[in-house]
Amino acid sequence: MRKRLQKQKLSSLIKKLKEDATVIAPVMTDKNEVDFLPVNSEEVILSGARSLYSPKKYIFKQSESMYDYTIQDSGKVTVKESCENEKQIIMGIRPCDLHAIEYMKEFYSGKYKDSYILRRLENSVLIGLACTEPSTNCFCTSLGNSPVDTDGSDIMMADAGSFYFVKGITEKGKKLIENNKDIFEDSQEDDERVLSDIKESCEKAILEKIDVTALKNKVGSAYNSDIWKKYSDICVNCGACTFNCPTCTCFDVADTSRSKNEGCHYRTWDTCQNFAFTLHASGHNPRSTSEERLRQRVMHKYQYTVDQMDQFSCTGCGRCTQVCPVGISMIAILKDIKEVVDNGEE
Amino acid sequence: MSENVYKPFLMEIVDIKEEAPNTKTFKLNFKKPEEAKKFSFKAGQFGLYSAFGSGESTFCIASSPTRKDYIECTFRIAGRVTTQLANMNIGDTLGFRGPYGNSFPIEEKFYGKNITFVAGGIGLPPVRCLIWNTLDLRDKFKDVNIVYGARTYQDLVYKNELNEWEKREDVNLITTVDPGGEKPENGCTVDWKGHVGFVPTVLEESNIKGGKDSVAIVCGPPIMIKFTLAILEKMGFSPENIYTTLENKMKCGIGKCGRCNVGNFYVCKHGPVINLADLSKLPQEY
Repeated sequence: MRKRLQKQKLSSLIKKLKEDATVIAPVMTDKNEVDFLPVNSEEVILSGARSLYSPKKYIFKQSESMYDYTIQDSGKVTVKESCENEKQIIMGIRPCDLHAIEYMKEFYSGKYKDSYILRRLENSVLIGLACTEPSTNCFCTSLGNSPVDTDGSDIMMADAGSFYFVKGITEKGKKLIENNKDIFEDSQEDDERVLSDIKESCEKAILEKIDVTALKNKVGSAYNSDIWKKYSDICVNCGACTFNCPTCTCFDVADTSRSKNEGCHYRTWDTCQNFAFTLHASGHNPRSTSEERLRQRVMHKYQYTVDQMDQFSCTGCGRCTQVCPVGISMIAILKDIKEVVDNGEE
Repeated sequence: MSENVYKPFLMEIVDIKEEAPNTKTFKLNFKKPEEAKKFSFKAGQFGLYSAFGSGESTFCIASSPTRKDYIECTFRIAGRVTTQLANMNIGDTLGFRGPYGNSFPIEEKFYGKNITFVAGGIGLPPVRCLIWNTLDLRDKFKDVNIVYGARTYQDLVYKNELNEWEKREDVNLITTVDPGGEKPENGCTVDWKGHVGFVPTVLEESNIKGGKDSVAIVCGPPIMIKFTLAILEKMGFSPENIYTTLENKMKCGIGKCGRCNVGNFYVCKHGPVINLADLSKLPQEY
């Protein structure tokens, strides 16, 4: 299904969509950062480079209650699950973040299905936006991705000057377009060319390139190398890289009591860069050093999820590099790994 | 939408045993009979136990799957959750999620073999499940040896069961306490008849034999495991026949929270049971 959305019609589309769902899109925050927030209509930014923050938090919430418990004075315990069923439409998601959501969807499925995340995904319509402009740290093509990938989107949009080229990808997406057909126009025969034009110009503008796909199944061989110390020596273990990573899925689980008789069991994002992440009750810590924790993050993204799910859990969005307070660059780490791998193969 | 994997079963504490200082065993029944009916587990699996208001802790299921209708867990007070649990009484309710993880390959690898259990301190509970499982199917195995030690007599858990195993003709039980652990000033209230010495040493000096028909299961503090594994290999146990059960910090038990991994091996999902041959391929992150 191919359509056109005239740019001046965008706000009427959002107004219409808001009638039965929360619409979330990139906006400029009062801190002068681009972030995904619930929107009214006009403030949406569908141009420029990807946002500083990914829309991950609308699928995997930074903190969420999993159930409430009450303990009556008689000792009787009841547990009531938290269950959200709100519909949301997330708009302006760049292909890197769409890949991340696809990854999360697979990760939280399997034998044990995470109903909180999967329910939220079911209740979401994901509207992608072809990426016209890379940020300084972007390296999606290094992972074999492209700025116009549609994987994971229900609808894909691309800026074609005076209008957006709109493509319905899934049944859910096509239905949304169908329900708002008076706002869209029919597309012209060669509209789809905008995608290849964007791909060409955006890929050309990406500064960082290293063929990570060639390192598939080989990154593990750098486990015992000395490259980690070089980075861990300056790493301050703040975890900003993990909190800003669209594919970081780790969490902590805890209880909090509101009173003697009630409280909630909740989870919250956690970071493998924190000493306490793996600290045993006995005091023993299997990843007690910064070096081990930095290696864990890199190994997890480029080797362990390859072993487990046959894919990298990195989309090349470059946010980890962008937010690192001491300037540790993932591309630099990958280049070092490549050197170790290449030397090992000689 | 599928069921909620994070929602615990409600369990009632029906019995509490003081095992050792700060160490207790709870016997737990399902509050809902229909959940008890559906529940089954295998020796080696674990669960997450919640003290509402404090959070969840991970322990093995210490009872045998051959004893139905209830589960037991043994824990030592080490933090917030175990402290709240330890303050609970018979009749109180706690939460339980599980069973999780893999199990000992009893039928496939243990049937028809000599079985040697080696445990130290609070490492007996994860093995006790398998010990009872073995003893309840005693004719499926050849010799059964149990080597168990703790710092002091006081620290030995399951003292009643140790007496029971001691009396059995078909079990070779060797108990030991660290030097000094047999003395009254260190809390020993009996005339200690067992060995005095560290578990690996006592094991090495025993009449237990390795070989291809012998399987060993080891659990205890990391330092004990380290020395015991070396001795077992020396005694002729093959790395494929030496099993242990790993522990790492866990929050979910189902492969999502991301902290129990040893390289690409998730203790909660691929473990906790692992043989020495496989363990030696993993990085030392345990």
